[in-house]
Amino acid sequence: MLAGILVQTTVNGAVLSVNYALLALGLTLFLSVMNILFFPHGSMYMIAAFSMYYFSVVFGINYFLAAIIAIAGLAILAVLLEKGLYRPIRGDVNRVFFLGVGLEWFLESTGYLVFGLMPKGMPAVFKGSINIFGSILTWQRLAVVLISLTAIGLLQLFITRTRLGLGMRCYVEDADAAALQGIKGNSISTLTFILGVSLAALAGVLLAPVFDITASMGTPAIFKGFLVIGLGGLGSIPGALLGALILGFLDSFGGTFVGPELTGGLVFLFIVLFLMIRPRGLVGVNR
Amino acid sequence: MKINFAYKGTVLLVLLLAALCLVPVFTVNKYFLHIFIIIFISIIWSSTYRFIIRTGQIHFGHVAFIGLGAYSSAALAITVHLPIWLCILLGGVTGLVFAIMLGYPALRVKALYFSIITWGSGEVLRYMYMRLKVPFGGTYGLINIPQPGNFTIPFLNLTIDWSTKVPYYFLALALMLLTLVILYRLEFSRYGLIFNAIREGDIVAQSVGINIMRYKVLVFAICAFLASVGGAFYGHYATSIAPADVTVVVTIMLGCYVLVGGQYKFAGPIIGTILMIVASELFSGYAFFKVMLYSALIVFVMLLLPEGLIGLPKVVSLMVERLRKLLARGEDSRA
Repeated sequence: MLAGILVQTTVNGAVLSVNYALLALGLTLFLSVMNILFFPHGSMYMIAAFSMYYFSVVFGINYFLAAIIAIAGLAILAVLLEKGLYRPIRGDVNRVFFLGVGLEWFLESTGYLVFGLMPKGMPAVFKGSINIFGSILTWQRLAVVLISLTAIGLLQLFITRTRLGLGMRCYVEDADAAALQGIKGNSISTLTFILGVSLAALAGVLLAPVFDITASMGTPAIFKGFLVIGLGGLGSIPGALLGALILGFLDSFGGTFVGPELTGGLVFLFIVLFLMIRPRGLVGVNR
Repeated sequence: MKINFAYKGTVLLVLLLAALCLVPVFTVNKYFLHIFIIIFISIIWSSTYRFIIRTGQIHFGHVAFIGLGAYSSAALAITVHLPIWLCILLGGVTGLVFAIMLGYPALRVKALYFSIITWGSGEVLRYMYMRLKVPFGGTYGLINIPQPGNFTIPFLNLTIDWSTKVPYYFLALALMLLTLVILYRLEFSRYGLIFNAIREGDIVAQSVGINIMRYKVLVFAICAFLASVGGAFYGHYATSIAPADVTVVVTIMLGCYVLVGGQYKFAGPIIGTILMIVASELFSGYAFFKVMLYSALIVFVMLLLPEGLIGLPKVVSLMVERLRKLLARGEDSRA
């Protein structure tokens, strides 16, 4: 029985971890490349989940096609946001953050207005389950973990192995020197918005069949994302993954064995003390 | 009659204060007085918040001070039955001690990590209130926080009745003025210059012999004390406080007040707070549109007014200038 609970909790922790990791990766891209605390990230996640619900449950489109439409649509929205709102005030950290806060609240309340107050649910896409040590694991959860890990791996390859990724890293090192080498700041900014928002959209798309879909799902998720990048360290993909793993498993095991309320407090206490001792996260770059 | 215009600002200020003092004479409408009291207390919080941001610290735990003041004062009044005025003062002292204890380790940390530490410490306190049933009342918080007792001022034959909002109004006004005077004196003194230096470059400031940790903690402690006193007062005014009232959203709201008003000027948070609270009251008839209009206002101000509302005249005059030049050019080409 205990083994069953352990396996179940582990898989739940893994699902939570990849959720946190996908959200935190987008945020850490925004923060380290553009120096933007991108608050509307949470509502991007919410919009992706809702569009999955509408496309595949209400309109009956195939799940994978619907996923591609949702991610592409949000990427276009990201380009519009970047060109219309963020480019004119780039560089002013406080204003950019509170612009994001306004946007997040706007999108969230629009979400309430359009999608209603009731939480929505979606049927599982990967049907069936397996039985390990008396615990029932749905293929859906395992598939979510695998797909997310693949996406994170691909992102790491993109940043480290391609010319565009190299350009992004150059821009982070020194924007002016990068501009002298022909790397356009505006293109890098657009690329960052597309990548970051696509990651949030991917999280929404993947987790729509696992969690409840509500208009208020975005803001708590974004706060978790900030915690993860604080713990893992800014500007590093392995750091974000590690931070997400630690927080996901702490939440999952703590929630099962200690109770969610105490866990919440202890996790915050742990992070505050950790950051006071090591003020650049686990694997953060010292800048 | 000749008026010396050098004192125009002072005269205006005195007139404004006189008008504020006369408000309860003309209306004892509880709703209006409530809005005024909330605005006064929020101005205390947003001005102190701006003062911390002004030294270059992106601080996200202001609600920790507010909540600590409110909770400790209420808990002292309920469990120990201390006099309420002493409780409010002790609430402020608790905030001060907490700020010093948090400030020394946390203020060494830079940028985002500092934000996360301050936010996280606020959340730790919030979970502590939720967890501890005995002094803090658990998840549902404290209710029936005692209000001050009625008393009569001798000789004047004036009874102070705390069930009307008038005494709270004057008390909140006095607290706000006290806070603003302290912050104003600090900002335009030698200390204010030191804080500017720390914001512009703390390593340079250190190299000219400024003990930056001492001044950072000083700002943190002063602002925490004032914000906690405001919080303690709010607790006794609202007579209830719950963990749901002290989430990080309050801090973000205060940040919106500051940024909408203008973060570079002393009057910025005052104007921002008044505008945002009045706006939220005006919009409150529309359930969903309220937040939409409110957040659209934030986006609009952030996007179009670089210095917040206080920079509005400058932006308008720039636009008028540009328009006039355009028109003049049109005339030239026609001629």
